[in-house]
Amino acid sequence: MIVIKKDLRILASLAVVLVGMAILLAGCSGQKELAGHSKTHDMDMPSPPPQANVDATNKAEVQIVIDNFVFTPSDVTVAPGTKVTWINKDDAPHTATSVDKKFNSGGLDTDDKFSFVFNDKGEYPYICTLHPQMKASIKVK
Amino acid sequence: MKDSNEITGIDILGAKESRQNGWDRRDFLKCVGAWAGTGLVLAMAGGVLTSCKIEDAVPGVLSFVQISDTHIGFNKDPNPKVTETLQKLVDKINALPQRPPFILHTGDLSHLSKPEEFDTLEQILKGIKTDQIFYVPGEHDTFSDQGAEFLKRFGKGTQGKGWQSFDHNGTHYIGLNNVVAANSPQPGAFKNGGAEGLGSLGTDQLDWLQKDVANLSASTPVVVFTHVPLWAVYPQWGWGTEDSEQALSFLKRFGSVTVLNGHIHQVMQKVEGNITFHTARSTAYPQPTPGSAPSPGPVKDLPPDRLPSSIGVTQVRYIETEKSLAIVDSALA
Repeated sequence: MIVIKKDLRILASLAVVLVGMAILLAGCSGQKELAGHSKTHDMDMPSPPPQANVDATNKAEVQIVIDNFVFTPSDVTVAPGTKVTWINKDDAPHTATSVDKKFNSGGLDTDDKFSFVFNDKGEYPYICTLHPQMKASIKVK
Repeated sequence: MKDSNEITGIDILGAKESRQNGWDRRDFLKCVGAWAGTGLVLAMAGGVLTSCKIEDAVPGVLSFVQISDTHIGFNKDPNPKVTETLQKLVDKINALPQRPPFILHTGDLSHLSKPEEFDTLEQILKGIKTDQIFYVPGEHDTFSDQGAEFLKRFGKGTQGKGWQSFDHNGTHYIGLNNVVAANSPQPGAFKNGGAEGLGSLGTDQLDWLQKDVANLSASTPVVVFTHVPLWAVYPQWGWGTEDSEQALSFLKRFGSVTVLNGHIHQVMQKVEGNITFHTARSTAYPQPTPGSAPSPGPVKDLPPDRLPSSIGVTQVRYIETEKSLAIVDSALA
């Protein structure tokens, strides 16, 4: 039994070395989280604050940029007849899909654009159907 | 999920003598020996060996191979040639000493649900020497039409929105769709699925699951395959399934449950009682570890020489003497 324990200890040290190599070679700090230890403080990275409640009623055209899984600006108020264009600047594909089925961009790959002219007054919440945590809205008044 | 007994890679070598995954110390030694000699990198997580060269002999009968997140149609950094890397992995599967009787694809077959992407995938996977391929959808396969095209092409023999079960060599396999409810743009659907981008099974599928396993003996090994993890890997990025607890409650009485998924493009594992959760690599590109980037997009600045070790497939072997499964993740190189 003692022998086995010694073997185990050697094995453990070997594994430590190998895991260490893996971390070094991988060159990223996330390796230790392989077992699923999520760290919320890692989320404290700088990310641009979404511009909420932007008044664009004096504009004929409005552009909404999709980047880092966020629509910016997230909530825009426009006048009837305004053309809104979404452009996907992210590395992942997204959609701009009205929850009331009023408009749907379909899949927007990187640099793809989608435009919709809002003629009717009302509020139009929309999401990305690939990542439904991405929520935003257009108000027409 | 809070009281899980997550174990780290080191635990299994010292304190833990867990055989939940079919690996005993002798098997492990063999593999370490094989690897130390060839200078390969060993990564351990959740108490089992989780990375291996696909050619390496592993004890046990090869039960099947899991492929995930092929993302046909993706054409950017760090892998503008996802069809080529998939083809290389297919060649490696065909070169295995034991032919896998079947393949599980755990979703995101395509990048944008385009018919030509599905065509290409079908064409490449046709080249695998196996009897059958079972599929569950990822959100990239269903976001535009609630999975209609996916089901038409890949849903043969499934029920509801694509769930299914079958038996093979005494093991019960269950394929679950946990992406369609999350993709519904209907506000009503959010109450019961996907409000924060999490995966969701929905009541219809849960009812079916409960009935599906009701008459199985508790000693039947169960393998669940689905796209989004059935444990809360990182809910901030939608890496979890909101009603997974209910599904798991139907599986708690079984002696051996293995849950395989994709979605997060990296190997991660957790053991909770008799349930082993395991996420597979993508065959296309890696995603960041939880919280290590502002968003879960592709790791696009990956040095080209690191790509082959960041993508791969998963082999699952049945250890007859242990009556359990060994999961081995195999990188492309």
